[in-house]
Amino acid sequence: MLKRVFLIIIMVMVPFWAQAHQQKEAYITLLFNENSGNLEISHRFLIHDAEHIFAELFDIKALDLSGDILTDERTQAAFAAYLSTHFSLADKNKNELNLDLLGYEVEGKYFWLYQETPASETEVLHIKHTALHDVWDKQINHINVEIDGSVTSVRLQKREGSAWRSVKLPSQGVE
Amino acid sequence: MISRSIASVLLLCALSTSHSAIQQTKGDFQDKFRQLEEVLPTPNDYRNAAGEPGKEYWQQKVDYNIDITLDEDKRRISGTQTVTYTNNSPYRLKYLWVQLEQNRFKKDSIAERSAAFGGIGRRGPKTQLPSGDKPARISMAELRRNQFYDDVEIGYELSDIVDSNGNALDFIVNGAQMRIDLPTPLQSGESFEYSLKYAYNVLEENAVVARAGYEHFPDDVRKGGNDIFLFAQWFPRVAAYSDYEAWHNKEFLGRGEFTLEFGDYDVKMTVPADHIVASTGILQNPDDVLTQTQKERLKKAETAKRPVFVVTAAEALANEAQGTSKSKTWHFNAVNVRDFAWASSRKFMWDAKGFDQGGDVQPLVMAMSYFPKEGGELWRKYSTESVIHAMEVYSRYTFDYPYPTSISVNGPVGGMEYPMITFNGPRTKLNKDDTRTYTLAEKRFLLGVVIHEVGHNYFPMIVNSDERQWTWMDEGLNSFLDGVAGREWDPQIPWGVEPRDIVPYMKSNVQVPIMTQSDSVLKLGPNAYTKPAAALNILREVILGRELFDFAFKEYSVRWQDKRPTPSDFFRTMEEASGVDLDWFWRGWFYTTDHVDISIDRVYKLELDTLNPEIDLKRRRQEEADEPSSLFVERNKQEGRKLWVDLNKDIKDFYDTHDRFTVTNKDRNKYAQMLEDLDPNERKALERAIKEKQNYYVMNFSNLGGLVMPILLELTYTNGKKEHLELPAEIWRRSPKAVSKLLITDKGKELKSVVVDAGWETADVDVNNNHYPRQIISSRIEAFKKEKGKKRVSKDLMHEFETKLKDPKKGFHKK
Repeated sequence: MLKRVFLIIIMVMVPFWAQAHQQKEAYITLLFNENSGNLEISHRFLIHDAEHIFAELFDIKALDLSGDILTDERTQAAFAAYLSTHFSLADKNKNELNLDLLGYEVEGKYFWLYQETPASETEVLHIKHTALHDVWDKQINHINVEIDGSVTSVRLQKREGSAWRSVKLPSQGVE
Repeated sequence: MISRSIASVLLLCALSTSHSAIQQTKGDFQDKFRQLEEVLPTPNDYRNAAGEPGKEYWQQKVDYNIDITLDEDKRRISGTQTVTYTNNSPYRLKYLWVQLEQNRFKKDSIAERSAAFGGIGRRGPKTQLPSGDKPARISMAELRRNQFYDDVEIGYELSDIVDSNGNALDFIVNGAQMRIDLPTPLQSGESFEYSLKYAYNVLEENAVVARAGYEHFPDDVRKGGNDIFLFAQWFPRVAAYSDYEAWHNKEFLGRGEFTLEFGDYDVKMTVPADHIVASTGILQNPDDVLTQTQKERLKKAETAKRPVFVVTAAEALANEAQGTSKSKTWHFNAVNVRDFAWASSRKFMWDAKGFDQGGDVQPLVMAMSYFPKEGGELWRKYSTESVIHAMEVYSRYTFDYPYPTSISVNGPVGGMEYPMITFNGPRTKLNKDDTRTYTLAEKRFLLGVVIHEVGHNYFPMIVNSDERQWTWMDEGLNSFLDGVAGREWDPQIPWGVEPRDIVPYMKSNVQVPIMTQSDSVLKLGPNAYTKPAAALNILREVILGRELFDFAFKEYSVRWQDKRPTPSDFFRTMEEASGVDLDWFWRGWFYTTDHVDISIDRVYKLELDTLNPEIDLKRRRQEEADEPSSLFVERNKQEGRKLWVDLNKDIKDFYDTHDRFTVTNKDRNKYAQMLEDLDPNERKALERAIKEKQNYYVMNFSNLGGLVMPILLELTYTNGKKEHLELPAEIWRRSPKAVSKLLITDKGKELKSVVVDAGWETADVDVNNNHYPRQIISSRIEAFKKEKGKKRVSKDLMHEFETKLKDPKKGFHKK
């Protein structure tokens, strides 16, 4: 069977930090917070990863951004906007959930982005997280779904594309 | 292969007791403290039970004499090597195995053929499977890689493989390895010399991702641009042969890195005459390749406070603008190293500074950096200085740096290590206004990567562990120490390997034990770098303390300096030298995927009965009186209901004046008899306890994560005072899921609250259950909502500062 193969023009491999040190990964926590009744989403990205990707994603010169995520608020805002458009959640019927962007912050070597949505009862969540995949082949977005103290993890990589990844939640659920 | 199948059986034993020779076949008790003897290889005369090299320890020696020429235009090297193999093993060898890493990049290699489309398999560019309505994707990088493959013949070209008499040797090339058959078996203690001619086309690092290769700079002034060449895995290298694995001929698949034998190298590299060569070893012919000025600058650098340029920025710029058709031969010599790498370019500026290490081993080490203009101020200021910082810190925890040079080279490789020489990637960026600046994160990254790669001189270049099998043995130990060195550079720099950094990985259900062969590890970064580094951090700061840990760690380093350790040698040495049983720690952190989650479930107070009925029964009466009365009775009272007993007071008996707590003579006699029957010591203890009126608390803990750890307690009393108490991990030894602990405090010292691991020192993944009484702990997001605005840690103004002042744009005002 002949498969369609699509070439992506914008992709550039950044050969970098790959050989002898940590590889690229972000950790995203989806926490069903019983106290607030919200599903809270915290994205944790290494600033250094983000900066290099940022330089590939955005025309820094045209936008007159410094590209310095650690200190430049406009760059932070642009990166936050980028992240929030590359993450989506949907319920069991694949109806996309509306996520409130609460804000972002820099803490040490990490850039954090926060979102939330009212938690509702569902046995299955559908997740997409394609941040940095459009530039960085190695990027793994590691998602921990935490509910009543139990953790279910998925690791989203470029090869999975932009299809929904479903996560079955433990049966106790949220009331 | 037999040696490895044994290793995998051992690993299975560790993963699940159900596969162990010794099994718990009733109940669900898990012995988290089961000793590791049945998992670790049996000690022998080559490596003993203490984790030391045994009395018959041996290792092979391989010496190389290489004469190589770089054809810059063709981007090809060719030359000859003469290898002297010395068999120090007690066994005779009928053949030698040789690693041919350049062949790993050939299209027919196992590495390439086993690379799954859209999946894992090899490093470098990736592809993407179709999904839903999305077509399959091939990245531009993958295209570039394939086109490079189409255009360039890849892999070693070998010829003239002969012994020292010129007789041809039988050999077979199998993928990225070659077996050379010896004319007669090489007996123990004998040497064998052979030579061969070889050549290969240099890979473009940015196209193929090979830990080495060339990087092209098309925009340089010189017509056609320039290249930086990095040479590693650049010659046929004899595989290691050890007492525990025999030939280390598990083929290179692209991830699990290298180990070789120690040996002496004599290398002559012929390159364009305007190139500067950075290399493992000591330059043997400075008079042929350096100018008088360069030699004088090098001499001056030995005692300089800051790095001195041997080749200045202006000289490098002039070099890279021109070019030459002449060539020069650089000659380097290195003694007792386990590998050899080098770099060559006309783009390099070169700075140097002597590191006055002191001691007898190598009092003066020349720290040097080679970098193009693209490295800029970042490299000029920080590369050589961070090379020295790394050596200063690492040597304190291990042994003196034994080599005469320590080099950092900027090229296309992000970070890679070889003896005396490291490749480091971070650079400045070019701005619109042609200036070069860098962000604070990039600066921290350069410092981090240089310290890390220079640190690899200690592990695994000197302490020669095998990264192909056990990546964590060098990456984990090295990440632990680069965290120590990083925090000593500037405590504000928040890198380092804090226990909290590994929490999201450890709590997840997609991971493999640290003790997993490199090519099979699912996520190498957290598995082989961060988790072992965090574990060692915890071992040092929480479990052993710095004094015991540092002694044991140094002992391991010194024992295995210039030798070949295995995981068991590390585990055994750390225990043997610290005098602390750590089998539970290695088992939990290295052999399982358990995480730390200790919950304090309940604290309750006990009151000591005096056994004296006059006192105890009165207390019981009071306790009952203190209970809230029945709502029913209260409402009856409010309604004015009269009690029968009050309406009929003429009828009374003994029980109307004596309740059930009334002390009888029978009680008194029993008490007196009890006192009489007590042992004098018991009586004394009872009397003292009654007098001291201490408080007795019982704390209940459960271990939800599975990983047994010490319980670090912060006790807060009603008078506001705090105390810290550490319950050793051994508290879990016979009850790994739940334990209780008695706490006795003096009269008046009443417990108000208890917190487990208040300082986040143990990588406990759930702090919600760490408090008693329970507290509502803000989630990260709740906390963020409460205090917005803690966003900025500092401001890098380098570029903004130079931005020209502008008149404000004309405003729009309604008139």
